[in-house]
Amino acid sequence: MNVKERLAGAFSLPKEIALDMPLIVATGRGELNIENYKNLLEFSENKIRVHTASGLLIIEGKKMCLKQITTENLLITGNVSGIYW
Amino acid sequence: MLLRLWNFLRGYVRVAVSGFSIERFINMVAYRGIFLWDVSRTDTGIEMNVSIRGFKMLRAYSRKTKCRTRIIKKIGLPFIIFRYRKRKLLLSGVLFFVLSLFALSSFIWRIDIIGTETLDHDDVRAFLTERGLSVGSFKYFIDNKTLSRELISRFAEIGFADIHTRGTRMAVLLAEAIPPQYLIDRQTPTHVIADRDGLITNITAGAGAPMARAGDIIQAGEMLVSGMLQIQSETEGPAIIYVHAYAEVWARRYYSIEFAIPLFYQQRVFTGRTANRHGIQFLFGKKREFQFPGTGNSFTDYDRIITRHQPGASGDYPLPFIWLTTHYAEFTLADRTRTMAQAYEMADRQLTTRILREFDLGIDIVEKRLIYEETTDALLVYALVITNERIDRIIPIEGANTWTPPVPHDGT
Repeated sequence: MNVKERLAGAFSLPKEIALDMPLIVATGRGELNIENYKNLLEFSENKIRVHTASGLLIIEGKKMCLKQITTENLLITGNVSGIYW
Repeated sequence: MLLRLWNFLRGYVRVAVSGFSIERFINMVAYRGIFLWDVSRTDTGIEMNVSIRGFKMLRAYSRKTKCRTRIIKKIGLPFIIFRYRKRKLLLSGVLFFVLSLFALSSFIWRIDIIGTETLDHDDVRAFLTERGLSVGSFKYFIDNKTLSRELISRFAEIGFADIHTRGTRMAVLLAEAIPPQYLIDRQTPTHVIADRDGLITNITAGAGAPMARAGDIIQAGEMLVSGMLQIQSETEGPAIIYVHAYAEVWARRYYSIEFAIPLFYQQRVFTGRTANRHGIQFLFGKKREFQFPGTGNSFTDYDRIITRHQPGASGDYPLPFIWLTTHYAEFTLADRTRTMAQAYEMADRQLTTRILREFDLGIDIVEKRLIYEETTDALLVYALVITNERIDRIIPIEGANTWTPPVPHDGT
C-alpha cells in the first residue's frame, strides 16, 4: 500500500472518496453499478469498457444496456458474464 | 417505479443516435448532467431515453461528435396535453366529473350501528337524527366527538361510543357499560331481608341475629337476619348496636308452567310458486320508493319477504339507492295430525326450552312434577317446577350511623 492508501485506512475514510477509486456493486448476475467512473470508452451489447481511476474495467456479457447514466454512476443491466481489469 | 412516474409527468423522448463516436457522445452528454436511461445498442447505433429538457441540449453535442439524433417516440404528459390542447369541453367535463365525485361522496349514505344487543338500534338512530345525523347528511357538518359523548350520556347502557366515517359509510361503534353495582361497603350497618317468597331450607348467617330458621315460610320483604342487636353491657345497661349483617338464605320456591299441544293443527305447505317484484328506494330528497311494474301477486295465502340491498362501490362507499326485492311465496294450509306419542315428545322439548329460558343459572331445580291430561284434540301439560334458590338481600339500615364490631351472642 502506498502512503495515500495507508493514510486513508488510518482515518477509516471510505476509499472511493479519499482515493478516487471506483465502487463496483454487483446485484446478482443481472445488475452492475459502477460509482465514480471517469468515462465510458466502449459500449456494445456484449462488451462495455469503462475508464476508472484504478484502471480500465472491462465488462463482458450478453444483451447489456445502460440502465442509468449520471456523472457519478453507471448502472448496467443485462446478462453479465465477466468483470475484469 | 416512482422514477417512471416522475419521468412520465415531466415528459421524455426516446432517441436513436447513430454516427461515428457514439461513446464520446454519451460521455459528453452525461458529463453535462443530462440524465440518460435505458440505453441499449441497436444495429445502427444506440437508443436512449432522455428528458425533453435534456434533448434540447443534445443538439450541440451531436454536431460536435458528428452523430445523428432522431426522435423515435414521444412519451409523457406534456405531449398528451399538447394533443388535446384544443379540447376545452373535454377538460371541463373531466373537472366536472371529479368535482361531482367529491361532492357526492361527501354525504353519508349508510349508518351502521355496531355493538350492543340490549339497546334498541332504532332508538339510537332516532337520537342521532334528532341531533342532525341521518342518512343523507353532509358528512363534514357532523361533529363526531361531541356526538359520541352525547350518546354515552344519553343512554345508560352505552359505556363506550365511537363514531367514524369512511367513504360514505358511517360506523357507530358501541360497547355496553357494566351496570354500576350498588355496592354496600362493610362498614354500613345492614339488615338481610327476603326479596322473594319461599320456604327456607337453609340459613347461613355471617353476621347479625337470625330472625328466621329452616322450615319457616317467608314472604317477600320479611326480615331474615337483623343487623340491630341488643346487648347487655355491664356498665351502661341494655344498649342497641348495629352490625353489618349478611347471610346466605336458601329457600324452596314453586313455579307452574302450563301449556297445551294441539293434536290437530295446520301447517304451511309451500306450493313452490313464487313471484318477485323489484323496486328502488332513493335515499336523497324525500326518500321515495319506486316499484317497477312487475308480475302481479295472485296468491291468496302467501309469505312476503322483502330484501333490501344497498349497492356500493366497495364496502366503504354505499350509493344512495337501496334495491328492494319483494319475494312472494305461496302456501296452502294443510291439516295435519299428530299422534299422542308425538305430542308427548313435543311437550318434553317445549318444557325444556321454557325452563332454560326462564330460569337463571344460579337456581337449582330440585324437582319437576308433570301432570298430563289427554283430551280428544290436545295434550294438556301442567308442570310444577320446584327450585332451591337464594332469597337473601342486604339493605342498609335507615338512620343507623354507628358501627361496632359484631359481638358474639347467644342467639337472642
